[in-house]
Amino acid sequence: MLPAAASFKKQGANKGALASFLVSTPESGVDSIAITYALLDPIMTVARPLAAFITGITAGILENTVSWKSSAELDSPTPVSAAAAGDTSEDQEPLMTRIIHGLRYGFREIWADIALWFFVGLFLAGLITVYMPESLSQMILGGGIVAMLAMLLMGMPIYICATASTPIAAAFLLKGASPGAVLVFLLVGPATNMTSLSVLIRILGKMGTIRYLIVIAVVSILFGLGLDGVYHYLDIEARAVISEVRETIPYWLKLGSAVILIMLFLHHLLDQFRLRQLKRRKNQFIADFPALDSSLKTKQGKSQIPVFVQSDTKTKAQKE
Amino acid sequence: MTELTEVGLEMWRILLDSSPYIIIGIVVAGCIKVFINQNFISRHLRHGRYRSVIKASLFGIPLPL
Repeated sequence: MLPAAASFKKQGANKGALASFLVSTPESGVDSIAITYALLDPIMTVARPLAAFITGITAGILENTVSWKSSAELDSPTPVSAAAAGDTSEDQEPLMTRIIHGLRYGFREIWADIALWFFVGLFLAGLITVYMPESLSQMILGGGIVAMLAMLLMGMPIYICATASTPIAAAFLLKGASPGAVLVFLLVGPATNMTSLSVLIRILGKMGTIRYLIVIAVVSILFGLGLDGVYHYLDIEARAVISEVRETIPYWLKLGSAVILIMLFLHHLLDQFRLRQLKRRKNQFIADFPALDSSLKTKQGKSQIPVFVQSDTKTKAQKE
Repeated sequence: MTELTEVGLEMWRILLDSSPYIIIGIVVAGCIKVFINQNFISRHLRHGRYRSVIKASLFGIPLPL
């Protein structure tokens, strides 16, 4: 997501559009929408991308209202030829090969990106369901501004991708956290974290990053409070709705998909392991050269020193 | 030990429930990635003070990560 934004910036995208893209991309995606439908409920499935969309627009509009250079559009470099070239080469591929490329990309790259985080998310969800006392989560996360702030504090510094945060959210919901508080976690967790801060500052600038963070915090909390209002108005308990979707899919399909995902993940791990070994071997190979070199040098040095001394003594002797 | 197996069981249960949807998600996401290239998005993020912002947010909704 961040490399994409950086390349958009290079291609002349304005700061507001970048801020907007940097909010809505991590907060929502087809994969996280699908898993939200699986583990949470239909209201959450709609609320998540909607909140991401509105938060993105708010951040972007604020950014472009505050820091808009009227000449930005004229000054921006427009690599039209590169863009056009890229398009035509993409268009020439037949539909079937493109779909196959897409499937391969999805199963290999996207799942490889998500998988580790997802299993960490599963583990945390397991820990929460087993160890978190219900009274505690109801007291702190049960609703209201305190619950929203608590989730904000938890979600802002950590990184967890939108898909991986969903099982954690489900666990919180089952422990009696309010849907609004859970939404705040789902929005803020993926959108902000410590490690991406330096990249954000490079793309949006210091003030831009501060505005970005404030907008995410404020809009997320407003959406959290609003969502609690919706559940209250409809008189639905989020916990009750959760398990409804789960029963609609036959067991063999669930088991089959789980096995496929695990196999793909193991395959990816093996690939990574092999790659690392290959790199290590290469490094050894390269590292051997300086070692050989230095040993040669020292040998030469050693052999040179007596020669110099000899020559010195010779010259001294000749002089004398 | 029993608590740890409980954690494991819960993980397995959530994995089963979410797997079919994850597969749908990554298939659709992969196809989006192939059919919409970055240059196409980039072209829409250059023009318009507010139009570009709305388009950027819309593009970001389905894109994974």
